[in-house]
Amino acid sequence: MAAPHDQDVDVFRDQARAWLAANMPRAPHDRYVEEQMGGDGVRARELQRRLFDGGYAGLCLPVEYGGQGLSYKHQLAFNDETGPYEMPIVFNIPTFTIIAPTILEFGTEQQRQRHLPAILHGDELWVQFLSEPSGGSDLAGLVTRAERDGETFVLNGSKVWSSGAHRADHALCLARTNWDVPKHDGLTMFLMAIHQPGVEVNRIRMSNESHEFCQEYFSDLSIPVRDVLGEVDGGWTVARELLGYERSAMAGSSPYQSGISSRSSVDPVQGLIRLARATGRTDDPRVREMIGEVWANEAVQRSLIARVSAAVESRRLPPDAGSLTRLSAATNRERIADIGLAIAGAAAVSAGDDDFAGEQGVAFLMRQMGSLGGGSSEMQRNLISERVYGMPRELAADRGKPFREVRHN
Amino acid sequence: MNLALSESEELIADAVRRFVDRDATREALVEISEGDSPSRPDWHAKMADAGWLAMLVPEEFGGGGATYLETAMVAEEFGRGPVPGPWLMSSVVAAGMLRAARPSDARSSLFEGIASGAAVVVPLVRLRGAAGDDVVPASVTVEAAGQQLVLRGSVPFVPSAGTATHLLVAIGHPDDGAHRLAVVRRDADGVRTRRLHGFLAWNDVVEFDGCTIAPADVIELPEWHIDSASIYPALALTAAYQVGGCRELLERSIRYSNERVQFGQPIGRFQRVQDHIVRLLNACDTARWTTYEALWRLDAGRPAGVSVHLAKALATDGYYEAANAAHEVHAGIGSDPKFGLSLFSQMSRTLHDFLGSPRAHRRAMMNHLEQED
Repeated sequence: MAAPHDQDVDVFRDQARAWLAANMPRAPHDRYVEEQMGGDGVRARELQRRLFDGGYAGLCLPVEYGGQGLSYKHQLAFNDETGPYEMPIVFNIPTFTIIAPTILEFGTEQQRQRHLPAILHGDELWVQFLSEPSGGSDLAGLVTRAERDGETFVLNGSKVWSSGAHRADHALCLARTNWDVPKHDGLTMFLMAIHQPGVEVNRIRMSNESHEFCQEYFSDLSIPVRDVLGEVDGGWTVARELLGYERSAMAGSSPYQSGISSRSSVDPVQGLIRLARATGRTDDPRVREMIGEVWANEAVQRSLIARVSAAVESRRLPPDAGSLTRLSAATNRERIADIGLAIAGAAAVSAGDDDFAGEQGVAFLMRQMGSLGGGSSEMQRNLISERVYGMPRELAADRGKPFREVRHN
Repeated sequence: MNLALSESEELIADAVRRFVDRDATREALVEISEGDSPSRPDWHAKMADAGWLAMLVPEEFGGGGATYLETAMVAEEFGRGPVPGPWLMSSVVAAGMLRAARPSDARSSLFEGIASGAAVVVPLVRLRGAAGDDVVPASVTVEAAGQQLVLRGSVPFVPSAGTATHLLVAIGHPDDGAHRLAVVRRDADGVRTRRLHGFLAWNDVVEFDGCTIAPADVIELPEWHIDSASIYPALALTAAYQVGGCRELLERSIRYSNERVQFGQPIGRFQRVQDHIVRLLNACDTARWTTYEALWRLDAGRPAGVSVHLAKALATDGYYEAANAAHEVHAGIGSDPKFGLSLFSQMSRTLHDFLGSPRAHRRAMMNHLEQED
């Protein structure tokens, strides 16, 4: 075990910088993150193991579960230093930023001991089984059923849009355990192993050629009762917190995110300037104005993250305020895609011989991704108005009705 | 101005729609999008039989003598697929360029080939930027070698070049610098096409490596650029294809929002979903009615510059907006290529700068506003 870290953030930063230089490989090329995302996770596990052995895993997680018990400021300082190195980025979402804090919050001592050190050690990649073909926005209206049979639950149904299920070992899976109560009251969250009889994983090819998303089918899958996370029929409580962690992860403000890739750290403004140079349009006043707009949006986004994170931490705002940063990240991303298309013209919509321009083209196609994944922008607006600002709740046709009486897909 | 469709226009639209419903189904289009060619031989044959390839070809060369609005019915219904392939390039843009060109044997034979389906003609012109941009691709050099011309260089972003039998290359003639069209067989020595990777639908790079052109294969083209009247039909008909995409996106989104149930009710009952439908409707209507007006002006022989540029700018913006809003309505399933929605988003982006960006057309429109009053 490595020596404890210095509490002084600046000292810690220097130590981390030196350690990374001595122990982590330089990022091999721009595309390594995509390769990790598309790959089997073996390389990422090995990299995470190095971080763990060096004492740089789980900086914000408690020491008793293999973490370092440091502050978010330490994590941010560490992340700043990681850009040039090959990092196990694939662990960040959902394993570190969503799964680990959820298990920490709701897990039994045994569940925490079983999984948190293994996650930090690089042994367990996780995925979340939430959305279903029949429903995404209406997550609580899901229809995958788990029926109690003695000391096990028997699971049947299907999940979709799960990122990286093909390479993951375990999943958090939300299923319906009670059909005679209103929809939120009949759900249970399960810890489950993915690669076992009764689970079939299919990969989905996306428009941007990513194979990251999967669809799973469960047929008579047996899950022991001890693998319930939280209470039986109390899954919605777990899911709500989990979704809060997800929003924070998607907005880039999770304290559990470990490391950044050189690519994700590319400032979109720099990307657009590069694009304007490549297409010879840096002198076009309209192009300069549009890039300025993106610069301003990014500045606002950064200060919004800082303000909302601080307010949530000090409980001046509820955790649902994470929707504010999530929503602004989505609208910014759309604007960046629009502006990229306007600047680049034909050069951007086909890679040609220039990978960078080709990526811009993919960005135009995936323009809506930020407003659909992790809860649509429409849902974020509902959360902001109803949960952050206390507006009256929207009428719902299914409120208070036993789920089996509710119309669903 | 009467923008209602006549019976003959409705008949054409119905016939194309039956073809799309039967042959270019969602499944077929998804399958094609994963393959190597944007078209199928049996489609091309059916289009030739129906006369859709020949609509802009003069009757003396076996063409249909169709009005622009009749041709737009075909464009719009193809846009609903969206049916990819060389129709827009060959039967609209190339045919339009040939109409503007001076008569010659080469021109006649290309017209006849387009009309019969024997030839697929893909023009190589540079027209992506501002008004007044040179149409000659800067990356191609032309040298005289005795009576022949020799082409070298490569041109990126040529839609459907891989399906062409003939390429129509805009060149500056080495003698006088004047614009000409060089007719090049795609299978000639020194010509190669290569599909571009990335997100543009069916665009190729065409490479010339010492390809020679006989004098008889050089056609004179007096005027063809973003601001010339000879390009108007191609602009308005591209807009009509985009309008077809908008209309289909609107109809599919309305249908989906009525069928998809969340929170115990169809999602169309939620005002935020309704807002996206209204975005779609606005995008669709602005594109559609400005396009119809431009077509009516062209058919009536009225000044059409303002109207055509407005239509192309709004149809382009409208298609992009409609695709974005449709993705918001369809959410996750919309990003699954098998569902077919992303064919429209891809096409909306592919056509964004085709024959000039919306900005370029707005500028051209302003120029005409000063002139047409």
